[in-house]
Amino acid sequence: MEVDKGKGEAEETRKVAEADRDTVTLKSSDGKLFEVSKEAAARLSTVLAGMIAGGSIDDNGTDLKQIGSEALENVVDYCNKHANSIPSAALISSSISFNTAPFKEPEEWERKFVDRLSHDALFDLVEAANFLGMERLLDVTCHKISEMMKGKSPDQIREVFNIKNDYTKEELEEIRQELAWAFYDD
Amino acid sequence: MEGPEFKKKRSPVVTGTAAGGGRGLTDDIIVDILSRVPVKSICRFKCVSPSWRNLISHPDNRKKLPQTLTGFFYFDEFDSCEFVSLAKPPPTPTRNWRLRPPSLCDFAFLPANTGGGALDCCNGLVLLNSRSASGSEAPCASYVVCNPATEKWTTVPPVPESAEVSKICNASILCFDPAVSPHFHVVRLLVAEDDGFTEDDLFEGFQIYSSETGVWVFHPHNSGWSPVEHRSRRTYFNGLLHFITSDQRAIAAMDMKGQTQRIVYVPRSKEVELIGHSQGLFFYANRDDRNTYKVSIFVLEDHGRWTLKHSVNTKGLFADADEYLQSELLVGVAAIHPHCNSIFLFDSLQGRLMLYNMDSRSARVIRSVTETCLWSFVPYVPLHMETSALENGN
Repeated sequence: MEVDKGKGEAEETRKVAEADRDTVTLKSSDGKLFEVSKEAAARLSTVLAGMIAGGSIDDNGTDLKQIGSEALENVVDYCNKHANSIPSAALISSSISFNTAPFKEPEEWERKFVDRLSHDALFDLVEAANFLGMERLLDVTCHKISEMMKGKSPDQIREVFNIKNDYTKEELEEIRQELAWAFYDD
Repeated sequence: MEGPEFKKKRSPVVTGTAAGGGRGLTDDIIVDILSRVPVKSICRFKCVSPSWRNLISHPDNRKKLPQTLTGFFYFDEFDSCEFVSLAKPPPTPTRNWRLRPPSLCDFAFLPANTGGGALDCCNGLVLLNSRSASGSEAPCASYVVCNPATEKWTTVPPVPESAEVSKICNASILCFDPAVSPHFHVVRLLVAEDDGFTEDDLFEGFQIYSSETGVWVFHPHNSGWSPVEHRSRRTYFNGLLHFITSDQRAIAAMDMKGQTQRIVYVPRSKEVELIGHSQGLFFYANRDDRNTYKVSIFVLEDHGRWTLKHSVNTKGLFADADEYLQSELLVGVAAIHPHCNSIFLFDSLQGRLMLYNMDSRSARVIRSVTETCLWSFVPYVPLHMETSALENGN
């Protein structure tokens, strides 16, 4: 690994110590500290992998200013659970047909993991997963949200996503008519 | 619903007008989530907000989101083709509802003298006769495959001349499914030249082109069944080309190597109307052998048995039908809507296309087209995704 010139010896020593540890410490926006398996963090998050490889992990807690403590706790929980789970190859989905990239259905523990979250926590976790480049967690959380959306009316969707309806009555009626025309069942 | 109940937002005042709303999700994440939702829901979610509608219809996102039926390639008794759009007609009714978007059926994006008439359509790609092939220099059949949504196209190499001797091609079929493979196949049904004396089965075999190998291969008829060439009596589903067999007793599924993979016997009927698929299920429609007005729709279950999904008496569907529906020229099944519980019915005597909702048992005339006695409708669902098999001109 390339080492930047001009760094102090103390820092070198600390880095070595850091490299020896099998966990890393992450610090949420509100200053809480969380320990996470280094192996799992590097495997599941491209951002954390880059930080570990680049030596920018702080022993006293790496600042993740964009992530609140609740979301970070879930991220860490997910990483640690993932580190302990045996991946199952039998769960490759055959039902997702449009995107050609294969999507593995959430495993039982992943499903349980996202099922227990409140809407707020789930959406915060999506953002955190996106920020940390955690592709699998993003997959699992987006999948969960898409399941929540099934059969929901536009009104319910606005509530879940906290979206203001800024259509005029006329615009909305026009779109409704187009849909009724296309599917003839609304 | 699953999961804890929706809790009041910590800051309920913040309701964004951006697609992410008060949640602050990026557009990319919302598109990622939407790409996992059924297409019908996606269309309904255009009502959520203008920013969601813009997100859903944006050209970059259309590539990632599933699309729904926008129309049909409609073939008449002379096999000439027109595109029947399902777009809502303008509020002031015009006498002729037929709309022909310039990109469809005119194929204006193809260089001059490249594409001829449309022959078939499958999951967004269209098979055309190659116009140059009709000239005297190139006696062999050749084709163009194009995607009207991306305006990409490719030519299919001419069929080897030797393979054509004493055989007639009575159907050219396009097989393509981006969920199965980025490559397409063209399947030609070859029959022996009719000497006028024999009533025997003239089917000779399949000639199949693969865009992956770039080669035509002939597969002689040896599996005991021969296909019906009518467009409504065949469908490409889960990587297999399904045909109604010529005795109308079964559906045969063939892979792209010409091998029969499955034979499923179909319920008894006076006449097979159509096979097709919708929402991941395989459908079969027939006409009752005692009441020819009665059309039944069956679904193929996993264990290979048929379940009757719906029956409809087509006699009462058109208010003014009685005077002419006495003849054998009846209302037929044109297509199954790929994404909802509706079927399309066609009154060939007056050229009226109707959408029939199987849940509410109600019907509505949606288009008038040129009336014809022999007809077929091939559904068109745009594919905005780039396909590696289509490289312009190559």
